[in-house]
Amino acid sequence: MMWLYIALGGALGAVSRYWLTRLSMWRFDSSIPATFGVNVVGAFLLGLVLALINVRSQQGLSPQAATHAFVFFEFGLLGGFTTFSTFILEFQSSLKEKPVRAFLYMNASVLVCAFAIAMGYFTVAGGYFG
Amino acid sequence: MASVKVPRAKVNLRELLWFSIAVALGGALGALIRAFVQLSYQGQVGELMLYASSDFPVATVLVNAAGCFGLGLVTARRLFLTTSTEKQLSDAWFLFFSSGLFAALTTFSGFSKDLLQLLTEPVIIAGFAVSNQVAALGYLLISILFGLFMLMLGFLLARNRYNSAYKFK
Repeated sequence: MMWLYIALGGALGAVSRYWLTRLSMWRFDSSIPATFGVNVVGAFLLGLVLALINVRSQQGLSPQAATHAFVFFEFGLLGGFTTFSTFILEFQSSLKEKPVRAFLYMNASVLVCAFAIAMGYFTVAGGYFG
Repeated sequence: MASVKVPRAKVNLRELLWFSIAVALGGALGALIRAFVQLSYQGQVGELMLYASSDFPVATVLVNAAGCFGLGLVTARRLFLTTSTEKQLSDAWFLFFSSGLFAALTTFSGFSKDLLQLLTEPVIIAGFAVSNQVAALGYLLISILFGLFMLMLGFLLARNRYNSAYKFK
C-alpha cells in the first residue's frame, strides 16, 4: 500500500513539473524559471507537511497514518515534483556562456530553498520548534 | 556542453497526453527507486522525520548523483541522434527518462531538508562530532560537485558511444 502511494505521488509530481516546464519553455524559452519555482515551492510544501505531521503526531495521529503521509509527500509527490538533476544540467549548460548567471542561479536555488523549507516548517510549527 | 531543451512539440493534445503518460510512468518508477534506496539505507521510516536523524545524509547524495549520471547519458544520446525521424521517435522515451525517471529519482526538497537538518543538529561522521556549519557546507559542496561530475561523466560516456568526434563548445 505504501509503495502504491509513492508511485501515485511520483507520477502526479512529475507530470505537474513537466507541464510547468512546458509552460516556461513556451513563455520564457528556458526551463530555468520553471525548475527554480518548482524547487522553491516543493521545499516550502515539504517543510509545511513535515511540521504538520510532527504536530499531528503529538496530537494523537496514528504512526501508520503518519508514515503513509510522510512517504506520500516526501518520496512521492514532492520528491517527484522537485528535481536536482535538471538543476545541475541547467547550471552546467549555462556555465560556459553566462557564468555569472549560472552561479547566481545555483546560489539562489540553494539559499531560497533552504529558507523556504524553514519558512514552511515555522508556518505550522513555530511554537513547537526548539 | 550544448544546452539541450525539452522537446517542444506543437500543442497537440494527443501528443501532450502521450508525453504526460511517459513522464508519469517515469516519475512513479523514479520515486519508487528513491524510496527503496533511502528506506533501505536509513531503515525505518520514522527515523527519517525532520530533526530526528543526525547521520550524514549519504543516501540523498548517492541518489542525486545517480540521477545526474543518467540525465547526462540520456541528454548526450538525444543530442547525437541525427535524423529527425529518430528524434521524433525518441521524444517520449527521452521525456520518460529525463523529465520522469531521473528527475523524480533526484530531489531538491530532500536536499534542502538535509541541509537545514545539518544546520540545526550536530552530526557524527566516522565517530567524530563535526561542527554543524562545516558539515552543511561539505554536504552542499559534495552534492553539487559530485552531481556535476557524474553528469559530465554520463555525457562523455554516451558521447564516446554515439559520436566520439563531437567537440565541446
